Amino acid sequence: MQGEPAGLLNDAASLSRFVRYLRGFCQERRASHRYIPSSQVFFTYIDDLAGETEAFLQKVVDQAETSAWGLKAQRLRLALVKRVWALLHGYIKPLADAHTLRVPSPLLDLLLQQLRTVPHFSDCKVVTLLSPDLNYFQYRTGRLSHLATQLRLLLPNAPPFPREFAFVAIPYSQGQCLFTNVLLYHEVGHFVFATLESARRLLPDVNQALASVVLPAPFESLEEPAKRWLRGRLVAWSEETYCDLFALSLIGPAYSLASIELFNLLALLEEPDSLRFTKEHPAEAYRFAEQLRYLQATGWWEASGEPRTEHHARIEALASKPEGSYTYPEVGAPLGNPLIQAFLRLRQRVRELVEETCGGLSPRVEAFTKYGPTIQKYLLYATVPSTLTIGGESHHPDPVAIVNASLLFSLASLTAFRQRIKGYQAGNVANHGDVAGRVELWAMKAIEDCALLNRPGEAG
Amino acid sequence: MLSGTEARIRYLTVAFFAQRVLDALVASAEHGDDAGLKPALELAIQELKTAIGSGSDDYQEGSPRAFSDYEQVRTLDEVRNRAEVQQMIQALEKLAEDLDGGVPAGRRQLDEAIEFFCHLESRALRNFDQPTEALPRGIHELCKASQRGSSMTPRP
Repeated sequence: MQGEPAGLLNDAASLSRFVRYLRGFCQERRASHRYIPSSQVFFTYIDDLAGETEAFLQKVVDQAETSAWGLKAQRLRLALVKRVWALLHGYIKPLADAHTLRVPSPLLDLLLQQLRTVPHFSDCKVVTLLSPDLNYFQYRTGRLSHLATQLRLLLPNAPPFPREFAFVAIPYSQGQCLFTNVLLYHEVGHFVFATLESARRLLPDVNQALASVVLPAPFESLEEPAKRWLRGRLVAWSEETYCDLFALSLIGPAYSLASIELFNLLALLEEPDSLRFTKEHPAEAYRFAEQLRYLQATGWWEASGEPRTEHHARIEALASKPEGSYTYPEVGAPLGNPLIQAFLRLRQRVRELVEETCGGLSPRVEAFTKYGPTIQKYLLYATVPSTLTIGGESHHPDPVAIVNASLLFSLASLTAFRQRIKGYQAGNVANHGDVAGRVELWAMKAIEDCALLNRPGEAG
Repeated sequence: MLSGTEARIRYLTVAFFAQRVLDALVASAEHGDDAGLKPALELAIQELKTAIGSGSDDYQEGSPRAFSDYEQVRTLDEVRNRAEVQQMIQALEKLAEDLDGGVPAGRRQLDEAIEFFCHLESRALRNFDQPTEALPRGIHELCKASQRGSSMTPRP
């Protein structure tokens, strides 16, 4: 038994060094960079938690157990606290990288302002992380928060986890882009879905859907792990659909157009991949079918259809794929097909959930119809479209109209724009990219200006 | 999409649950301190029943259960089979009953329970370190049945 307390000391010392490093790293970054207020709050949480962890480690060693079970339990406790810090380790660097020069602050402000108009989210905050992956993520804060509560049973003086925080990650390479970052709306949809406990609300429908299809064995006869796994697939696919429709409700077709852009980059839009369901995602063909239905029903599709872009055609082509062609290869057709059938029976319920969440929000399609053509005209003349003159009067356009009109301009009208640029070399890839980037900057500036001109407020 | 840390958080939730019960059991076994034992036993019984499907309440986002997700149930499955978990539930119920009747907890029963929760926590921590993506046993069987079925009755 002599070796055990020394082992405990080593464990504690090793964890202490790890925590001190992370604390110092955060302090150094905060001193040298500027962050949005919600990131600052999370940095403070980390700092306070680090202080409490160090105090806890000393206490564990000072009050080392002498019995075999007591020591075992103490070492497991240290191992558990270490894993919590291992988890936080994964958040800290992406958080520290996301200083204000590296994130699309005007778009984040707009997103936050819109999110706060959704019932039950008036006080929420969004923390942005920069991810090394070329994809967008959302971190379930409900579970993180629960974990932090559990941690307080071990570290009673640990700070409470900041409330009503959405954690989203964007690829570090896209930090300053406007258009692809529209996908953040989908990620925030995950936060909304979780906060409103939508999975629990869907569960009766999920069970009913699974019981209504012919699986290789009756659903009710399956063991609990298998039942949960099947339910988990339907809930995950429903959640992804919900997030797509949530994003469209807030930001309009720009979300679908930006999705095409990203999925194309990830090579997800070619058959058979576009027809495949995966563990967490429905097939892209299904997702775009649901998006197109929503855009048509709300009038967005017609309003944004001119000029028609290659992306519009792509969305319609994907949406027209027959549902019978969807597959879930991971489990094979005889299980995958009825599982997909069960999921398709949930779609109306998912639409209702989105309507319950966003139904009261003001539709933005009218503003787009009103301001879209003028915004595009301003962009054609290389002018930031934050104050428009229409019929002799000045207007500050709706920022959602700016995002959609400028994205459509970027997709459809760059050729006309380029012809106005002296010395522009047709077919030059770098030149084309520069021009597209410039349009994004003007649109971003217009959103920032309109935030000031329409509603003086605070970001973050 | 959801981040890759999602499954790892699920494993930590299991580990925290096990640690909470473990602390109460060790306090009773080593120090004769039963103050936290009753609520810990009640928690353990409730969660383990949920895990084997006799008290299901999935998807509690705000206060997720220890065994609300597939990965969590699988972690328990890796430590003990369903019958053994059922036995553990009975043993914990007996401990709780004795406690209510003023009977001191038996050392052997406490030791068995401590061992069980130590294994569970260790397994959860290991899965946190090395998350795996395996399909559950029941699904494997369904897939196999599917393949047999599909070879006999091809889709039109």
